[in-house]
Amino acid sequence: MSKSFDFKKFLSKNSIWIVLIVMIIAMTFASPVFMTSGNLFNMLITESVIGILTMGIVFAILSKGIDLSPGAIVAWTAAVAASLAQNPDYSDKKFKNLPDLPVILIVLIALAAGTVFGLMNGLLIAYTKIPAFIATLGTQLIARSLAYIYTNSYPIPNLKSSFKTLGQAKFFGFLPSIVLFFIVFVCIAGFMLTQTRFGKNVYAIGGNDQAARVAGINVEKNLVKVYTWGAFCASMGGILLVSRSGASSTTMGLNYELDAIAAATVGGTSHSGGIARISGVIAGILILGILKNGMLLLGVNSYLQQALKGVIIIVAVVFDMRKNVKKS
Amino acid sequence: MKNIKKFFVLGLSLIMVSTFAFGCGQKDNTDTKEDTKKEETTDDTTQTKEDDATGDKAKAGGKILFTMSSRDQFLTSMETAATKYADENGVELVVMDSEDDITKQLSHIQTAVTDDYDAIICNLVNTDNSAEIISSAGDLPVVFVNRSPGEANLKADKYVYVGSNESDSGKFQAEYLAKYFKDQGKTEINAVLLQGVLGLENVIKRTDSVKKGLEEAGIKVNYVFEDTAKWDRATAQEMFIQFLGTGKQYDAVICNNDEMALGVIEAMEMQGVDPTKVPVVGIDATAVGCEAIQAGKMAFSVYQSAAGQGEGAVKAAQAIVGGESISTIEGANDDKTIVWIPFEPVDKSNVEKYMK
Amino acid sequence: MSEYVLEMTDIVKEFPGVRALKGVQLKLRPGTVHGLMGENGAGKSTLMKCLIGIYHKNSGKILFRGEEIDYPDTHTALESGISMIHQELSPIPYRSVSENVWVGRQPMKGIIVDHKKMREDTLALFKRLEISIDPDEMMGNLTVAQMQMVEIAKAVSYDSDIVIMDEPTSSLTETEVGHLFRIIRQLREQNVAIVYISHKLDEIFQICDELTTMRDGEYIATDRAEDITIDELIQKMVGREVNEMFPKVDCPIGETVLKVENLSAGKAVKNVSFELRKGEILGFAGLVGAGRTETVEAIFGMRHKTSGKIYKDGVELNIKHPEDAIGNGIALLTEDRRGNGIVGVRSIADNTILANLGAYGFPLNHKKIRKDVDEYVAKLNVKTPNNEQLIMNLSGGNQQKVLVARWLLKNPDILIVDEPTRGIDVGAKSEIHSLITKLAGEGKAIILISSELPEVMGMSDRILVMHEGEMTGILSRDEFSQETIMKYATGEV
Repeated sequence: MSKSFDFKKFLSKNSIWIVLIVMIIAMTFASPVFMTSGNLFNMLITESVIGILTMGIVFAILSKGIDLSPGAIVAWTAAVAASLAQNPDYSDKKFKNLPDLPVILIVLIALAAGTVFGLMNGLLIAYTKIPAFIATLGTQLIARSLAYIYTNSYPIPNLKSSFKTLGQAKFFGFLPSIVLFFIVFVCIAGFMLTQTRFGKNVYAIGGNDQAARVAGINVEKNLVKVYTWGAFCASMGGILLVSRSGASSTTMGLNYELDAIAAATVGGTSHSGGIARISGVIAGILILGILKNGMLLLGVNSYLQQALKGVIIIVAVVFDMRKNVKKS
Repeated sequence: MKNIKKFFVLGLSLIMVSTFAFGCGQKDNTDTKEDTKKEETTDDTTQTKEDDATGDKAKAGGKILFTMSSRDQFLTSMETAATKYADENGVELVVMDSEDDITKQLSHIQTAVTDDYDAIICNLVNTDNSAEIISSAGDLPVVFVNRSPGEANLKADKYVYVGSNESDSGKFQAEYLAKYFKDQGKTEINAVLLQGVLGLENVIKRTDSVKKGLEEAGIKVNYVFEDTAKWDRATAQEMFIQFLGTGKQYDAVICNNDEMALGVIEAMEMQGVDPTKVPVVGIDATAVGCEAIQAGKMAFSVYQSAAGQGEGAVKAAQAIVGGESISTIEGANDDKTIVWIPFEPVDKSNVEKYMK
Repeated sequence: MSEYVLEMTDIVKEFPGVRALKGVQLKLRPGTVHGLMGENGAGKSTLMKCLIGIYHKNSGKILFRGEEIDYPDTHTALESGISMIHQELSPIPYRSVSENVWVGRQPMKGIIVDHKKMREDTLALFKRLEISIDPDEMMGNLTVAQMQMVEIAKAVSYDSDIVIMDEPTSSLTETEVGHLFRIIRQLREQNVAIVYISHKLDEIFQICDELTTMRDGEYIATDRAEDITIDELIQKMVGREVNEMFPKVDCPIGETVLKVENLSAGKAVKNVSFELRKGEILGFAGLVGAGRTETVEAIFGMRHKTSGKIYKDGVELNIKHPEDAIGNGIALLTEDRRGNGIVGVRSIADNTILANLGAYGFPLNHKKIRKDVDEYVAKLNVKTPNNEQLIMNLSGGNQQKVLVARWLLKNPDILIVDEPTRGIDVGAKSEIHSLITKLAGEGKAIILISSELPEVMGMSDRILVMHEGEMTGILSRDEFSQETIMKYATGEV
């Protein structure tokens, strides 16, 4: 009796991981290539940038907000980073007289250029009280337009190899740097949520901002931090993406925020605020990644792919809602 | 207090935004003074043209207003070619920039009517507004360039279209690949096809025409992988890396644009695959694309001639103003409504021509 | 036919891990008002939800007019003649009053809603119930009390045989309560059976004919109201004798801690001045809307103060935000537990430490957190299986205890409690009373806002009375009497 009860509880608590495992098993049978380390790493690499963005967006959703700007910030930081990292001897450089900058400096400048948008998001949302949806929609448009203006919509190619190493290197002979960055961001996000005062504050603000205020939490300051962190993640994503692909283009990161929101949502992050677990979100990222990878391996028609993705998102959230309803 | 804070934040945001826009603007900063700029530009151009062209020549070629949707890389090349051709052939050409604003474009049309222009060349801001443009133009003939107003709005030697036929681009890709494989004695190949954003007219035309072209050339193509990479280089790159993981055989990679083709090449290089061994073909012949062709990494691309379109538009306008028919111009269709400016195939043999 | 219109026997309802109802019975006679008594969490609401089809019983029998029923949903229950006024209102704010009354069952003319008839029906209904609310008014423009009356009218309009009222008077003034009682008596004459759930024992004895008491999901007893005293009833509800409802202990009162001078906040608070001393409990009395809550909100930094000065230990404070107040050792247990008290979707532990997060370092010291939470949950006797339970799953009284624990953990010098026992069962109420007294004994300065005169009189050393935003007087213990306080509260002095 007690055994079956525990099993039920285990099922409902870990439903997302069970979905993931079922998908992995199904894919292993469906495609012989799927379970090869090469393919798994390729899938992880592809999901890494969106994964890093998701680590930022989770905080926004958790605080009962939303962030629509990361995809555009990716394009903008990618452009900034690329313009500073072109091969010194390339004839058609964007900045003709630019000296050979150290990679760390390029990264810092690009991070600053992108993170500023998060600061702007945060200040707008916290102090003018406009809805996060509107504020971040605005920044999305501004950031992408800035990327267009900055590059005249031309790609910026021919990046120097020291910069490309950032996104293309392999550690210990097998771990791609971009995946390593993803893991680092997961650790930072998980640490912040569970081990710091900031994380607890965000949980409380999302759950009930008035209660958080009365308990002495400076809601505004924390919201600014939330959106700044989101843009920081997006900026890092942009830098990694451009260093990996070797050239910036203004279409970069298009709709990445929607993929990130989907991953966070599938991973059990509640849009009513106050509920999120990094472990669940990772499962969400992997589920969507395997879905994409699986459809690619199986050669699913590209028109159909979108629909399947939609179905997965809806089903995942319906299950999650039911879980929460049962609890209360 | 609260209000002060609010204003402070709003102000700060505004300052940030404008600083960015100002600091990063590549174009001259006249952008900020739209109205004065427009007038100045108009006056300037008019003046230079009057200086350049002698009275007789101006009469011979007519007075034509060219309203552009905006000035991006492609359109600027088109403008330069149009102006050059007009100068050489005694046409008085006044160029105005609508800055992607349909109301500005309409006001240009009105200017043309009131200032006794003989014809209008119009690069539409929005292809849905062509009927409005035509009605505003009154009796003046309109030559649409680069962006088609839709066949229904065209009328022989009165409302005509000068542009390139998207279907040709795919046809050129097919021709190149057909020759490539026939030389090797192959008639059946495996190919990867990466499309732009699904549902766009040019994506459909580019995709359909390359498929049809290969079929007609007698090459049987087995599409081992076909998906959309949304025109995007990074997306194509990640997608192709995952495809390489499947170990499937492929003999060619066909992309709807150069950016995606470059992403595929980047992916190949990362995975230690030699991109020169398999033909990767794109469309657009962008600067970076041409570099890749020159380096031998990309096999082939297709060039859409901005200069050809600019020149063709002035030619068409000149013909109509002179009472002739556009059918005398090369590339005109039988209905006397369209002048097709051909796409141009680009491979290693002629790529230098397309690099500045 | 039996003498009962409704017979519920041996009702059992289980939730995962909890047995909420353990064989409960309830028998209603037509034409009576039946009080359903019990502490929060006793199972009253669960029982009613089983009746109207929100929950489904695991076993037991429900006979309605002699027939066995088990409604699949509330809609069927309504159609069969059982309606309920819920504790939480669910108005549609941007629609008219009449549309709110007839929502889901509008009179129709073919496929078109007959607005004229709807309006006339509303008028007739309101006339019968002596309610004077314009049917065309937007629902959102009504006061909470008016909305409650509309809700009552709506429940009556179904012409049900049974009307269930769950805390119907929680937002009503005394006159409106009188009005509700007239409606109830009118229904009783029409042979309707009414189930009346309320924590206000005086109301129970005014209106109820019979009382069924429940405790911890079990049926205790059914009595005729005239055969039982308040003390006996409380004993049945709590399961033990509650002797000291207001365990006031005189303790030494020290020097002044808080001094408020000419405090104003817009129109809500005008020129309030008082001093609060160590070990003192200062009661705030007044009618609803007198500005008591607004006054403490202004002190705590939740409300913008337009003028006035606040001193603590002789030093002027500049409080703009609750953060500042807390930093200066002031804590406020607000009256709106759901709105700005609990963070519902987080655990008891998270809610307990919320105001004290700064004390656990970086990274957070989870061992210390666990120790503190365990200690305070035990100290305040919070009833929960474990501290990771979501706080929204607790009863109101236990939620309140967690919120008290939150502030105790912060160890403030000044504790302001606003309606600390509203909507809380008798047992938890007396626990909170002893706790407040104990804190005063430890030298804390306390402000107690309460609308229950016996509570504020029983607990306080002095009482500050307010009327329409102004302070009308401060009474010392020997001046306390309901009449005096009401005089000050109504502005007659």
